[in-house]
Amino acid sequence: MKKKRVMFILALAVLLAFLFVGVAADLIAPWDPNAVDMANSLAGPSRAHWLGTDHLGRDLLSRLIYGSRSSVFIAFFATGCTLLVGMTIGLVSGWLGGWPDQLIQSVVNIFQGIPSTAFVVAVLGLLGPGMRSLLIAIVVSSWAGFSRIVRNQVLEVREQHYIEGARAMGAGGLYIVRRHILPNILLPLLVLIATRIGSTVLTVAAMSYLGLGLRAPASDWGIMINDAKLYYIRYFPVLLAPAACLTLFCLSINLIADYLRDRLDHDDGAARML
Amino acid sequence: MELCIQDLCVNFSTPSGTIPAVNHVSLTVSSQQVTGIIGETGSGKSVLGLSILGLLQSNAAVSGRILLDGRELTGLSQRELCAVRGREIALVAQNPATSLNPGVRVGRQIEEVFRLAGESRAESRKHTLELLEQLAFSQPERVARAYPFELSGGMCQRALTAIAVAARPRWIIADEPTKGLDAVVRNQVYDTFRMVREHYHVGFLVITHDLLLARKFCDRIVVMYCGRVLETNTARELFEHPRHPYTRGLIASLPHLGMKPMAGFAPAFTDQPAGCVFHPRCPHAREICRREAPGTVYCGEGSVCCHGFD
Amino acid sequence: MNQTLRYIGKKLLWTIPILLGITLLAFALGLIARGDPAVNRASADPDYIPTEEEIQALREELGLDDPVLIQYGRWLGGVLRGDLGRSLIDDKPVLDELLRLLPNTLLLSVLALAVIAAAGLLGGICLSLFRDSFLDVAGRVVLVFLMSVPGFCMAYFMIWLFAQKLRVLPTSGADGPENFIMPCLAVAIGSACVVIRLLRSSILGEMGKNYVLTAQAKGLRRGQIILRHVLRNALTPSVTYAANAFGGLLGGSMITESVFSIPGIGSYALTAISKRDYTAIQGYVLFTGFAFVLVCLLADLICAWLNPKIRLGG
Repeated sequence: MKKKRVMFILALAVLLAFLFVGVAADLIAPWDPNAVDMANSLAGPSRAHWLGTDHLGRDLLSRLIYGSRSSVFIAFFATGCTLLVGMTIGLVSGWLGGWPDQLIQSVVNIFQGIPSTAFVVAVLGLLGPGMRSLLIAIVVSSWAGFSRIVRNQVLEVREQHYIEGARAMGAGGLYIVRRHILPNILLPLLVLIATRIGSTVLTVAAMSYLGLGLRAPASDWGIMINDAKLYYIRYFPVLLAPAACLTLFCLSINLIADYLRDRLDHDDGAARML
Repeated sequence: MELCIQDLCVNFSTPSGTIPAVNHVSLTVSSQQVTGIIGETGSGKSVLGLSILGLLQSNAAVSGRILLDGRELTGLSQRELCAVRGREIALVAQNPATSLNPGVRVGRQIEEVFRLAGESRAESRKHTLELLEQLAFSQPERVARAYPFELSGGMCQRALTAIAVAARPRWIIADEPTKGLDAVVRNQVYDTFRMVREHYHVGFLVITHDLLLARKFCDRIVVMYCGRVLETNTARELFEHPRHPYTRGLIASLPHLGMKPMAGFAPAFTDQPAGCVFHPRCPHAREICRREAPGTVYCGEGSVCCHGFD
Repeated sequence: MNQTLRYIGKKLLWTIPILLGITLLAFALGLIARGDPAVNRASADPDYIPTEEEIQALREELGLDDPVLIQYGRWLGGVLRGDLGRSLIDDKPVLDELLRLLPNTLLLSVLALAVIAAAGLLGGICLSLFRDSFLDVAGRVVLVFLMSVPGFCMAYFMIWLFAQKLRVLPTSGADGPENFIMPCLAVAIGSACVVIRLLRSSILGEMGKNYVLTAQAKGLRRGQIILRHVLRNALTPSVTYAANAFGGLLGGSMITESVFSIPGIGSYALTAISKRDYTAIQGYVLFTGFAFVLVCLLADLICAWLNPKIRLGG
């Protein structure tokens, strides 16, 4: 358990580091990410360019730093929007119960019936590429799963006796939601948010890679991988660097989610004893 | 045939400290008699039963010896123990509803025991149906095809008993066979066990907090408290002339004897009193009870572990 | 048996409104699409600027002036007859094109599913059998790392290693079985790791239940207990996850297909997007949606087969 805790703190530190680098990109990045220097293309690491340069001679490290800005920020922002939409609908659905719940769940079922990547690609294809479309596509394709889990949690908590107790004491619906239901679904929600941030970063990168998300010259990990696919044979780090960033980001998200999940069910793997 | 337990200790190591669930227990039980181990929840009686089969969790440290007809079970490898389990000593686990696999038909679960004993599929099927009929199931085929959740608690209990007797073991350990069952079904359990005992001549070790079942079914009774044996005697003697204050308290708390509750609560395993473990609740506690643990005194067919009988 | 049939019937009935809902959603996606399909189609040839009359004629031909509900009804009627419309660009029937390209995508997804299932079962059972041993601890570290590598990054690493450095596998195309090894592994590894972890933890969770004690007391060994008693009860979450992953492979194939240049339904969708072929995009969404719903239905039925309690309504 102690080891897990250390890993959790490390993972959290990595995540915060990505965030910090994203926020302070202007201050940290040694070069302009779009400064082309054809004479110096695909150069190896040097004192000027710590990770070398890409096919246009742009500084890899600076592009990575600006890339973490767009990837991580879109991911957090999109997850936040999904959370807001999904949680509101889930709370309402779970709290109301009855036919409104059934109706909302049918809509949820329909939205979940389309594979999420296909959904995102289709929405992006119909709206055209860009940051705004990307956000809309992610929210539209993933609010349903979010709201379903929130709704199931609410239903579970709602059946507990202390809710009945609070009701008997004359507490109103909103009060119960705020004071009793939200705190009790917080931990499962955190796990969900963590995994969702991870998958959103992947979606953003994949869409940018396909040319449907952010567009060049924006600096994004997905775009960097797309740029690298013709040149990585000559200089491998152009591919490795953004891929490693993505992997590291997902790894830290997975470790955080694991730790939270362990906290969630203490009895995981703990077997009968007496 | 004898099952002999010598100076058995079982300690569980947990994050919150070591839990001594069984504390220096020595017992000899004969298959000629039905032996009952009684005590409150948490007295270590179930752990004692499972330790005989070597089925404790990996965080349990067992010391002492368990001998089956002179053969030591505590030193056997897992592989050798697997040959003992079921064939020589069988278990009727507690909570019949959850002790059967929810995803497998009841018949298959019984057949499996015959198959393990080397029978063909057809033979084991036939024997399963015979066994179910013998255990007072009126529609053996239907029960064999059913899943556990389609059966009542009492039926699950009998199905578990069928699994236990299927391999014709020499011993059956029944762990809380009547827990959570209503009075009518408790009587059924008693009848089933009687029948099994007469028909298969197995040695019975019944672990229970159901004193009425113990009195009706057992020849000999062992009283446990806090992982220790406080008193042993023949069932009749024990119920008519209980020696240990704890036994007297247990019997006085029976419904038809006035239902007088015993004062106090059993101590937590991590925080056991010095001296006699029962002294904080004992109406006759003396100075010596607080200081020294009493030794076991043998008299007649029984034994008692109390300073009042030194 | 009766109850089982009733359960299956109920499940089948329930999918009908979901499928209908998906058609509605796909249609709505087409509606909110930017641009005018008539203009797009008329200007398919870049050298020719269509006149206003030509566009209006096309508009009427496509029925774009009718009320939305009637357009939906007409479209749905077509869908029910197996007509997903014609591509706005090359006028080929969308369904025919999808079915023509489906085998490659399907082969890739089925192979990947096979890898996920085989690795998941084997790994999950092994890790739970040797719980807390070196194998288990080290294995879990590797798993957490591998499942964090995004599929398309994995794909490029594999191309770099196997095609560029070792030169044992071809980089791209869909000509022979060797073309499918890398794509299939690249998409399967991540999900396989998740399934292994999932199965391990649910097996260990089941091992703490009372019926395992009964099985042990019968004299069964640990391996026998896991295979004969525990696995069936522990599989449900993994089956659900694998079904989702399979649906994700079918509907997310465009990434792998573009990395390895495999002509499949995913690359069809990408082409359609680049040409703003809304009918094709609509058809693609509908097609993958239907496939996904059917896969999930199948997974539900497998879970019901594993858990009699679900199917018998206990």
